[in-house]
Order: sequence, then structure tokens, then C-alpha cells
Amino acid sequence: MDGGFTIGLWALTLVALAAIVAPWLAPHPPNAQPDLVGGRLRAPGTTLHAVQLRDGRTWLADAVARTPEGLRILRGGTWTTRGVDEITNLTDDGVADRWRYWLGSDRFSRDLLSRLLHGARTSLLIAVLSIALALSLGLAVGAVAALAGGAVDALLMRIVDGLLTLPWLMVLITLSALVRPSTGTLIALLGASGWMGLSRIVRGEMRGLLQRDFVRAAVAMGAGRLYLLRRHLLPHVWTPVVISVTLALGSVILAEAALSFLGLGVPPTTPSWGGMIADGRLDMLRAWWVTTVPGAALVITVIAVNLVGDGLRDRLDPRRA
Amino acid sequence: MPWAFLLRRLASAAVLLLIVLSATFALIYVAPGDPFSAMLLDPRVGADAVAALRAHYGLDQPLVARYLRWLVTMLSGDWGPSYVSGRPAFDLLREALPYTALLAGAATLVQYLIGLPLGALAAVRADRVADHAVRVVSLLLYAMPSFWLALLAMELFTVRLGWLPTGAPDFPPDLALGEQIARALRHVALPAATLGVALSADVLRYTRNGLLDVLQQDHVRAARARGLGARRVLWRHALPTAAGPLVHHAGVQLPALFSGVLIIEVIFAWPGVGRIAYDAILSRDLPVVLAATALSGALVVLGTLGADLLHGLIDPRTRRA
Repeated sequence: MDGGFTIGLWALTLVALAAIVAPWLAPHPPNAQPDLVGGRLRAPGTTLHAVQLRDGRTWLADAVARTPEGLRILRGGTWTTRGVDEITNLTDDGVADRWRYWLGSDRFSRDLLSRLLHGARTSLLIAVLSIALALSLGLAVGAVAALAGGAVDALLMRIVDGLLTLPWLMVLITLSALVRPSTGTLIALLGASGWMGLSRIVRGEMRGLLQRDFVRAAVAMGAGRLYLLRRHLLPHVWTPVVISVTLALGSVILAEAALSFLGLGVPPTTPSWGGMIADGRLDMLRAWWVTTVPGAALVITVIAVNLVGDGLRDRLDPRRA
Repeated sequence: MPWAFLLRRLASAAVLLLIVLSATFALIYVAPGDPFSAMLLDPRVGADAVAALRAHYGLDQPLVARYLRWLVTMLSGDWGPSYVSGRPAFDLLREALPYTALLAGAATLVQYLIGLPLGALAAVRADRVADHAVRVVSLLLYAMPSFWLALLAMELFTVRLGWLPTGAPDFPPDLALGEQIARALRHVALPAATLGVALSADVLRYTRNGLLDVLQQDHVRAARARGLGARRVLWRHALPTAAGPLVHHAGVQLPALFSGVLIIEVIFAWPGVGRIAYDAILSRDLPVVLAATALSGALVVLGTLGADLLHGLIDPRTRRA
């Protein structure tokens, strides 16, 4: 699966880069609704004539024909005529500007490519930050349980076991329906619901390490708990933690998309892949691309994350390869 | 039999469930708005009528009094009336439960019908073409968000081809039993297939890895050395050993099954517990939210416990441990 790792890494890098430079790469603002009549549900690859009117509006026209008095415009299935003085970007044979929908448009004439790029930003930002939160919680609880042992360990692991049996999507739906999350609270919710598996892994690894000779030697020489943690335990749990964090990234991306799809994730003005899929639901018959474009992006990203996670496991962890 | 262990787990699950329910109670209390605040927008409804409704359902009481009353009635089996429909929350859920059971059962069947044979095939042909193909398929299945798959399936099978219906089956009173069953199966086919396919990646991966492990073990190698055919080794020696962990896994993934059921029920308008819970959450119908959370939590806990007990019966190694 070495090829898989390389492909996954490349794909993930591309998605991450696209997310970072989205504001500069996106041809249009993600929420711009240029023309609800002329730009609604356009197929991928459509190029339209962008007629700039003097009152500031833009008309997206399928075809234009220059006449001596002005311009005849085919927009939304009907021909209309506008005079020379009403249009600001008139040329000898039409208008100077074009509007391209590389990946098509939705029912509000919003550009799907721009929304996709900005949505990548939303998805990855939420996924990475909530995983970081889950990682901190998981490391803290796992380390405390392993080092303290005894009753503290038993209690913490009992709590973890209990939390693992909760249907988390349902809990998340309840919580986000009640608090109407901003991006920040959504990160907190996803992070707070995803640390249990990690804490188990950290605890297991650390307890194993505590039995090893080099750690016992350090303990015998009077090493304190913090020193042990920093010097001997953390450096050695890094490998399994990195692997499971990478794999968890995929499920967090999917969970965020599911919440946004249900209208309970990021606010509707923030473009997100799950929200885009939901936006396209009503138009599936007329415009397959509105749901397919964000769906495909989601699938590709999650596959890439998993290829990288599997590849890391094969490379870093010879025991489980 | 480990009765003490069983009781301890049931008790801690009950405590956890009570904590979750209490937290939900408090959250809904502090969240702004209740099911009746929207009525105030209607000019035909007077403020005194809404106040009377609130008083009728006890919403004018302070938090502690409401909580204590809920606690007492809940423990006596009365979950209170729904704020929206006025019917007992318990009845609403009892009517929905068979639908959820049918959907979850059928989806699980699909999940294992896909996951087990493909996983076994991949393990037996490890690192050959079939294995790689199966792993690519499993990656695709894992990355495909169930809600997206649901939209695509509905579009194809219901709208374009018209083969399968969605939504709730209706049963006229004079319908013969066989026809009732046929109708229920036709209606559940699409949601169950979608959910089963989306969840099968996990089973597939788990079967493959578990079986690979077992195929390396001494008793399987011994069976092979005695000259038994590949098929006999697989069915008589490898699969029974791998079955135990699989049963355990079936329990562990119950929360994921429940989360999936919720999303699928919402998308397909399937009148199950998940859909009722979702509607209740959105309308802040507190008694129904609490009852649905309790019901699904209890089902997951009992299911996990049942899977663990079954695991112990199948796999003698866990009993000694």
C-alpha cells in the first residue's frame, strides 16, 4: 500500500493547500449571488456573458446580440433589450466580461467552485482544531490514569467506557440544536466527543511502558512523575497516537458534514461541504452537480486521510503492520 | 457466570444514562425558547393562552421543581406528554420502535452480507488482486457519507427508476398479513440498503484483519499441515475462532448504528425513533427528547452487554481472562 500512502499524501496536501489559499484561489466570493434569474443551477463548465448594468447589478446572459441602440440579451429564457447608456461594459460585439461556472452553480446562482474551496477551509479547520482538542483531552486523561493507577485509573476508565457507549451523533445533534453552534462551539463539541478512544490508547501504551526496564530504572533512580512523562512516556506514545489521530480525522470530517447537512453544524452563511450537499437536495433532479461536487470532495478527502493513516501505521508501527 | 460483573456494568450504565438525561434536561432548560414561544408570533393566539399552556405542562415552575417531578414520574414509567402533540411520549416511541427495529435489523443484515464474505475473501487472498480490490472498495464505502449515499440512492431508485418507495408504508386495516410484510419490506429496502452499505466497510476491515490473524495461528497451520482442504480449514477452524471478536465488534459499533439510523430516518422520512427524536429536538419537545435519549441509550447499553455475553459464550478464551 506504499503507493496508496503517496497518493493520499499528495491529495491531502492539495486539499489543505486549496483550503489555505481559498480566498485568493476562489474566482468569486462564496456567498455571492450574482444573478438569480440568469445564473441559477448552471451546469459545470458554463460560460455566460456578464452584462454590467449601470445600477450596479450583473445580468448573466446565455447570449447577447449587439444592436445600434444597445444590446439584446437572452437571460432566463427570454430576450430583453437594454440601451447603450444602461450598460457599463458594452463592446462592439457584446459585453467585455464573462462569468464562468467551472463546477456549476446552485439555485441561488452561487459559484460551486468558490464554495467548494471555502468549504474545504471550514471542514479542515474544524477537523484539525477539534482533533487537537480531543488529543489534549485524551493525552491528559490517559496519562493521569496510567500514572495514578488504582482507583483513579479504574474510575477514569469506567467513565471512558460509559461515554463510548453513547450514540454520539444523537448527543451532538441534541447539543447543537440547543446551542446553535458557531464554528468555535462546533469545534468544542466535536473535540469533547472524540477523546475517549485516544485516552484508552495512551493509557494502554503508558502502562506497558511503565513495566519496561528503562522506565523502572528511571523510577528506581528517583525520577518524578512529570520527568517520567516528559522524558520517557510521551516520546514513546507518539507513534500510536499520531496514527489514530490521522484516522480519526476522517471520521471528524464526516461527522461535521453530517451535522451541517442536518442544518445543525456551522451557520448557513459559512460554506461547508455538508451544507452544500443539503442545499442541493431540492434540485437533485434538475441539477445533479450541486450535491455531487461537494460529495465527491468529501469522499476524496476522507479517502486521502485514510490512505495516509494506513500508510503511517505500516511505516511507523512494525507490530501492527 | 459473572453475575456481579454484569450487575456492575448495568448499574454504571444506568448512572451514566441518568447523568446524560439530567444534562439534557438542564440544557433544554437554559436554551432559549420552548415549544410554545413560536405560538406568540401568531396574532390569533393571546399571551394568556400561551401562559395557560405553559402552566398546564409545568413549564412555569422553577428548574429544581420540574427536575424533581420529572425524576419521580420517569422512575415510575411515566415520561410525560409531548408538548407538541399532547400524547404520551412513551406511546409515540412505542409506535416508532418497530420501524426502527426493522430498519436497524435489515441494515445490519445488509452490512454483514457485504462485509463478511468480502472480508473473508480479502483475508484468504491476502496481497493478491482480489485483496487489493476489496480494500479499495472498503475505503470507498468508508469514505462515502451515508447521507450523500442516501440522496443518490433515492434519486436513482425512487425518482429515476421508480423501483422502490420511500417514506412510511401505510397499512389499510383490511390488508392481509403477507401483503403487510411485503409492503414493509419494500419500503425498508432502500433505507436499510443505504445504511448497511455505509456501515459495511467497518465489518469488512474487521473481518479481514481478524481472519488474517487467525490464519497465522498454530491450530490453523496444524489443520493445514494435516492436509485439510482450504475450504474446510476456513469454515471449521479459522472462522469460528474469528467469530468471537466479530461479535464483540458488533456490540461496540452499536452507537454508530444508532447514529446512522437517525440520519437515514430523517432523510427517508422513516417514522422511527430517530426521526421522532430529531423532530422533538428541533421543537424543544423536552419529554420526547428525554424519552428517546433514554430509550436509545438503554438499547445501546443492553446491546453491547448482550454482544459481550455472546462473545464469552462463543470464545472460551475470554472466560478465563
